[in-house]
Amino acid sequence: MTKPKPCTEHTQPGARRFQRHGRLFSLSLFLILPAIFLLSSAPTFAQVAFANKEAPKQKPIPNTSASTSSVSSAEIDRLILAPLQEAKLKPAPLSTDEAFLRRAYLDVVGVIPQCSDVKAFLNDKAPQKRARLIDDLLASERYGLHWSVMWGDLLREHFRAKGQEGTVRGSYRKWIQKNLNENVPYDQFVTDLITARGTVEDNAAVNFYLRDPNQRSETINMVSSVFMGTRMQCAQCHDHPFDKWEQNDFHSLMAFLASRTVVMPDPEQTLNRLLDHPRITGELKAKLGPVMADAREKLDKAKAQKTIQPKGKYKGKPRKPRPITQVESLRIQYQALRKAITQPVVELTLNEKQRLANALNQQRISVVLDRQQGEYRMPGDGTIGKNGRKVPGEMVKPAFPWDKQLTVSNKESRPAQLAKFITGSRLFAKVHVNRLWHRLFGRGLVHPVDDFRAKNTPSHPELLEYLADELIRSKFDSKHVLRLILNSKAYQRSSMPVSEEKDHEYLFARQRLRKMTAEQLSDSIMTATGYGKRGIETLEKPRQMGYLMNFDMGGYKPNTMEMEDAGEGEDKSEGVGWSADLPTPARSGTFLHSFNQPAREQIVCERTTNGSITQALELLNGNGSNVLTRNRPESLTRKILKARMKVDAIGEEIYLAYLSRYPTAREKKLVREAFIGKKKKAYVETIEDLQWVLLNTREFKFIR
Amino acid sequence: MPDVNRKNVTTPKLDCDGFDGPSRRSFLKTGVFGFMGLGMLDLMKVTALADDSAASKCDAVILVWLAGGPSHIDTWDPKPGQPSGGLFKPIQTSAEGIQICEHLPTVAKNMKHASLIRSFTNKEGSHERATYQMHTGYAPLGSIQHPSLGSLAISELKKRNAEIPAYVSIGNSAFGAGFLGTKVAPFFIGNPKTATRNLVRPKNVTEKRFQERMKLLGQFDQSFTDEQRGAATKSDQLFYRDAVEMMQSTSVDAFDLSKEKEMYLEGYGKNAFGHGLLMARRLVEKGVRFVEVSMGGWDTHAENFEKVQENCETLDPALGSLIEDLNARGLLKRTMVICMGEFGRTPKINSRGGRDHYPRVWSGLVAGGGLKAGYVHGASDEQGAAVKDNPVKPGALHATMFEQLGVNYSKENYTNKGRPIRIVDKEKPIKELIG
Repeated sequence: MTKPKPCTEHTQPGARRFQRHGRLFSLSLFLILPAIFLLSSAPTFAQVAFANKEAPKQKPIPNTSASTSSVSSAEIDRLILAPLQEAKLKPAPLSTDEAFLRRAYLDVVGVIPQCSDVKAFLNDKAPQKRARLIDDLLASERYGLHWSVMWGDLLREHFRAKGQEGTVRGSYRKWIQKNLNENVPYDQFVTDLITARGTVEDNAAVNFYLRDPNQRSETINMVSSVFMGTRMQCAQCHDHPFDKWEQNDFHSLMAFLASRTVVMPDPEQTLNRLLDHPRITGELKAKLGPVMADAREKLDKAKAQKTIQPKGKYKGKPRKPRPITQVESLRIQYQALRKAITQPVVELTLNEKQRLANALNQQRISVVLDRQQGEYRMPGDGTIGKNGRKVPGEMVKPAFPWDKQLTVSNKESRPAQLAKFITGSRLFAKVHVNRLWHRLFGRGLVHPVDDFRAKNTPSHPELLEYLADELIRSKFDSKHVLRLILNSKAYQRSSMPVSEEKDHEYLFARQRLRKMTAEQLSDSIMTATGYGKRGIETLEKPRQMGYLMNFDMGGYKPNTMEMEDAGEGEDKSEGVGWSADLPTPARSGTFLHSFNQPAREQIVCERTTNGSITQALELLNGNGSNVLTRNRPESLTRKILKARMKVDAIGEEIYLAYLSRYPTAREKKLVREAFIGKKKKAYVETIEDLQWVLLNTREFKFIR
Repeated sequence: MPDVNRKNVTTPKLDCDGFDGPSRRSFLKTGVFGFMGLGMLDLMKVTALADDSAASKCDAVILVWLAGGPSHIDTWDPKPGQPSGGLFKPIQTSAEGIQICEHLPTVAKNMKHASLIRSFTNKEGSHERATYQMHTGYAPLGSIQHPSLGSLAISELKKRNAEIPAYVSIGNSAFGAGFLGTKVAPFFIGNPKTATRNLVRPKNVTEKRFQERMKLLGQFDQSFTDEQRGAATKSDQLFYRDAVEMMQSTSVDAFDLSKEKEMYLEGYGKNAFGHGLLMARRLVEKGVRFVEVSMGGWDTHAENFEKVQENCETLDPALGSLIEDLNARGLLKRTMVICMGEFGRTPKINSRGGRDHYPRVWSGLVAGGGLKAGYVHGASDEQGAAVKDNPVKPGALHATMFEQLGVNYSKENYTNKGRPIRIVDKEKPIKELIG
């Protein structure tokens, strides 16, 4: 995890790299001078050997990603320029280093750079510095954090949905982040999701199925929309009104996953596992004999219940009992277990009871497995039997709608074959590279990104094919494609309007001005104000950060995502981390919710960027701009006061921290004026005010 | 800035009865709140009507949104003794001949002020699509973001109170202005309890300091303005202007439930939804045009009866009190309450004791705003499985609402690509429903 610290410390990979640039520069001088002295056209063996010997020492970070020299984004630029010339549109010039730096940080790692990073980058004179920055950012641990937000939106990772214990404990997100940071090939990532089986403990990818326990149509919607860029949900109930998809297509896709099922664990097994939980320590375990016996007794009683008494009365008489369903029975059994624990027969402390209750929740582990009966029958709704459609109850065989030539065999599991068909399809590659492009430009080559169909043609068909080729050629290396795009002139163009004429945004003559997402904004506020994650950890009461930013921890312990235990002496939390570490979706009324973090109910390919009065009020009066800017330990304000900076230096520091650039002459003057007539004692207020002001400027909130 | 309230205190408009007419008296006899709750000042504010009221029969709409699709059979359209009928029994309401579910007693008591539509019908069976359609009148299209009913309404109507937003959305609804642009977007409130959290300056920032900060902001933001950026950044500025205006107005008290009397808090129910409807009433009093309050939990695929009963315990006191309270304050005449979800639920009870999505027929409740009261429009068949008579498509209700608001529902708005989109597509108002 990248941990931004106050500016004085250079700890981010980017910063370290820039130091290295400096050293490399002096090193090369050292090498070049004797070379000139010797007037030798080729370096001597000794010099080469010396350089080789010294070089490793100068490499503080192992760079696992491909070297920059192998990347050429010329093809992208050729394919972007041609249509621009045709439209007689002049592309915008490259953006300034300042704008590029901030944009690249926000796009690749989801946060603004710290002032030390800005200074280092601006001072760096190496011609390759942009490419190097891109490599460093792609290798940063924050890469996984940032892109896991997108994947959370797509896969609808949800902390509070019922019966999804895996997502509850954050295992899904951790799995996604690990995959992203290890740069697991994209086809492997998707295959792992579709073929996932077992429990969260064995394989956190099963959350793909646990997200919608036994509602396979939702899973199929994710498969078609997210992996294949196809909107097929209409075809669940009727033929698609304006696309080629028929109802049969949807259901033949369903047939691939017909045997997949999520089974709630047997309460007895859960009870047996209870004592194995790491939080049930020896001392507590010793007391639990009678509690366990009581739990078993209550469980047996609950199991024996065969009928259920409906609530209320009918025509003045109590209703007749009805047979209990399996789900109801399981629920009653778990209620019985819970009762045995929360009202134990022996004396337990509140903390012990809570530990037990949490352990019970966590040991309740659903299993994703394949049923024996794997045939799929047409469900009883929707269009019936018209024009060769299947009728309800009729068997539907699995078939891959995007390529009906592919044959399904009985030798391999059907989910595995589905994964093979999907990842083997060219559309799969195109959808992915298009999504990456969309993230970096705010617009897809095919747009919207989940609407690939014959009539929605790509703006740059050749470019889309080229990027898909590159993805396949690199064995589905997403970072390779990102690196290609990030290094292109197209990506690095200024976002300033080029002409008065109507903008053809789909021609990419310039970058688009984009609004920060909720997560980018909150992490950037934490970084600019001087806190960052590191700062929060050192706060006296770490969790007050959640309060400060009006985050909602929903009872979860930061970072570990384990349910909070209220007991004293238990609090070893590292403090609220980055927004991507928080439970999703944010509750309404919280910072992240106000800035349009989605509810994670529907698949969200593109966040709404609508502003609102609520957002304005949050930044005018909320804690982010008012409390974090105050003179507290770890804050930028404290740092400025401690360093006894002069007015000009203060202005510079705040501009670097908030807007990632030095102030202009005009802005310097404004800063000076803000201090005029203020006594030294009142400086702190002005320092707070200036930060409040910059945080509320549009320049802070928009990605240029 | 015009002070609408003050103007109306000095020149009260007395054309709406209910000031001390029979409805108020009956409220006093039977009401859950009693007389003390009604200050005279509140009554005066009832008259905060804009001048364009001549053409309209309704000033404000409160949309009570039941997300997930409530079971029509287990709420507004009971089918006792039928296989589809389920576990609840019907009760008689204060409106002759109308029966609703036993778990809605407070609404039943006020049914004489409200009407039911029992013949909604539609084709969308997925939450996302149906919710979109019921909120906008259109099926979702990738290429067009349709405006919600509230945005459409306020884009056509004059503001009644310039100090606070004309459209407020409470709860988790995400529907906004669509292609009409953020000018007519709703003011979102997540949790009514914390609605005022950012509406006041932090304690350590004096008014003077706040003004200084705002002045500095104007100066420092200048460079960005100079760059001639697009609409997105301009709307950002507009929101700031509106936010600051709101902070400085007295009308924001409407968002502060701590200023509300305990018996109202109690009566509407001490939960986010009850607070939301109470806030809706306070907002309408202050001149807000459109309030949506949403309540989730109606997607009862399993254990339908347990969940519906539980939900009714929240819905009933809140909705019943809202109708009663609006009526007692004389506001109901010109305030329309619409309570609905995105579809109904299957007559068939599934193996999990639940009911599944059912758009073929379902019900909703409407009250006030010049609509008939104590009336049932349309009917479902014996099993609640199909429309028996007077089918109502979502657009027809929308047209009725706009008609009452005095909005030309067949007007065309233009998308940013120049495509004309009618406020209501095809459908016409339900004549029988209009009083």
